[in-house]
Formats: sequence, C-alpha cells, structure tokens
Amino acid sequence: MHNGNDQQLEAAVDRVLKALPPLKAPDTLIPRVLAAIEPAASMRWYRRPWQTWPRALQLALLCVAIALCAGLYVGIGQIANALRGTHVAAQLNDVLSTLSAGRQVAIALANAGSLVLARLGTGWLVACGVLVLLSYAACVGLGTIFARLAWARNSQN
Amino acid sequence: MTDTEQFEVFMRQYQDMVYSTCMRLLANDTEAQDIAQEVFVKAFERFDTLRDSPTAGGWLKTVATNLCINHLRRHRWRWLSFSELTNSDQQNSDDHHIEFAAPDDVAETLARADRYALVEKALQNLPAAQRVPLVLFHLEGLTYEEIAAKLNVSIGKVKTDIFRARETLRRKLRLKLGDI
Repeated sequence: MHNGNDQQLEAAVDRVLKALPPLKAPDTLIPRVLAAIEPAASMRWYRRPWQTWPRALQLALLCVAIALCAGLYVGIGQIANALRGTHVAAQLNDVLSTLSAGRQVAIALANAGSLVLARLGTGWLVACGVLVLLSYAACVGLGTIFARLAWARNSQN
Repeated sequence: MTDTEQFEVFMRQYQDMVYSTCMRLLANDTEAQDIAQEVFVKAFERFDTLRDSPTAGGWLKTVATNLCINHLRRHRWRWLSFSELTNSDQQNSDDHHIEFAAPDDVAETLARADRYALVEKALQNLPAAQRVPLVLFHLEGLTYEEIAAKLNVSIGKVKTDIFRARETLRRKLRLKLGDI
C-alpha cells in the first residue's frame, strides 16, 4: 500500500511539475547579457578565441596550418639533402679565411654539424621541427590560460 | 542583421526556459539572473554553431543546470545547512497518509495561474537539498544515478531527499492524488 502510494505521489508530483509553464525572465536579463557580451562582440574576429571565429575562417586557418606543416616537412627534407651533397667545410673555409682566430673552431664545428646532419637524416630533423612547434604551441596555450585567469580575476574584482 | 541582433532574437526565444531552469534550481532571483547571464555569454561564444542547431535548447538547459549545480557547490555551506535541516521538522509531520481526489478539489477552485504560482512558491520554499534533486528528476528527466553523480551524493540520499520533497509538496499544496 505504501509503495503504491509512493508511486501515486511520484506520478502526481510529476504531473504538477511538468504542467508548470516556464517562468517569465525579467526584462533586465537581455540588456544585462548584451552589456556583458558587448566587449567581445565589438572585438575584431582575429582578437577573439579561435573557437569563436567564423567557420569559414577556421577552415581557412586549418588549411594554412596544414600547408605550413607540409611545407616545413618538405623544406627541411630539401635542406637536409642539399647540405648532405655539398662540401660545407670547404665553403666555410673560403669564407672564413680572413678570420684566422676563429677559423679552426668554425671549421671543426661545421664538420661536426655536417656529420651530424648526415647521420641524423630527415626524420630527426622533422622531429626536431615538430618539437619546436609543439613547444611554441605549449607556450601559447599556457599564456592563454594565464591571461584568462588574470582576466577572470580582474572581472571578479 | 548583425550577430548581436541575431543573438538577441536567439535570447528572446530561450530566455524564459533558461531563467526557469536556474530559478527552479537556485530559488533565488538574483542568482538565477546571474547564472542565466553566464549561460548566454557562453552561448554567444559558440553562437556560430548554436544559431541553427536543433539541439540549442538542450545545450542551454544542460549548461544552465551544470552552472547552477556548480554555483550551489561553491556555496556548499548553505547546501549542507539545508541538508541538516531536512530530518527533524519534516519527519515529525510526515503521516504518510495520502488524500485521494475529492470532487471539490482545490485545483478546481483556483485559477490556473494562481495554482502555478502556488506550486512555484512551494518549490522555491523547499530546502535546496530537496529541491535540486526533485527538479533534476522531474523537470530535467535525470535518473537517480545521474543525479547522485552530479551532486556527488549517494543514490540513497537522492531517493530520500526526493521522497521528502514530494511529501512536503503534497502537504503544502494539499495535493490530492488521482485527478491531478
């Protein structure tokens, strides 16, 4: 009996609550929201967070980013191949012939560099490039988080 | 029409629903307005995807509910104090006797608007610990498990609080079962 009553009460409360019409929002709500979003709305699109950019611009930026990455990949490969095929040490020897003091050091470094480049291969160079990009992205991300935290604190004050 | 103007139209369409959700969960006009404002500011940030989305209403409701619960969590002291109040005075008057519908039910004599106002008032006067799970269950359609997870309490507590809330509403509204 008790369970039956509970179920009846549940059904009754459900009907009563679901029959409630929505409460009327105060007239001040929309002006408040508009005032709150006004700074963001008046901000130029490129100063807003990427997520809020128009979809077309997001796609365009994505395409540019992909093209840049592809260019970087191909470019690094080309540079690595070019360095491998030339006598870097000899070229530097001509250029640095006037600088007697640092000449030997520079030649040694150039030799070591060309050896390293030849040994590492394209994969390592690409990995280094990606690492640099990731580090840059991490810096941007952390900077954004700190800026937002600071902004939130300012707006609370 | 500029983005802001379009957003104003969007807000007019959903402001009552968002405000109702906040008001019924928080039972405080100022706080409900603050949270509703926060919901719409978030909506503006992703207005490009929301403006034509058929699920915009659901998204707004979910965000409003989550922000209200976060707001209540931030003011946990109030939540706890309400929870502690639920036992003594309420259980004393619980008689578990359910009245069944009479022909001259009070609902027939009250104007519908007055009745809605009574229900809203009774709902808002419920302690937060009872009102929130009740609203989440009956108005937001969440299960006991989902409510327990959202509020970070046990399922048993959710069931007890909802049961007490229903009993309180029954008494306050002189709810008669069967013809409501």
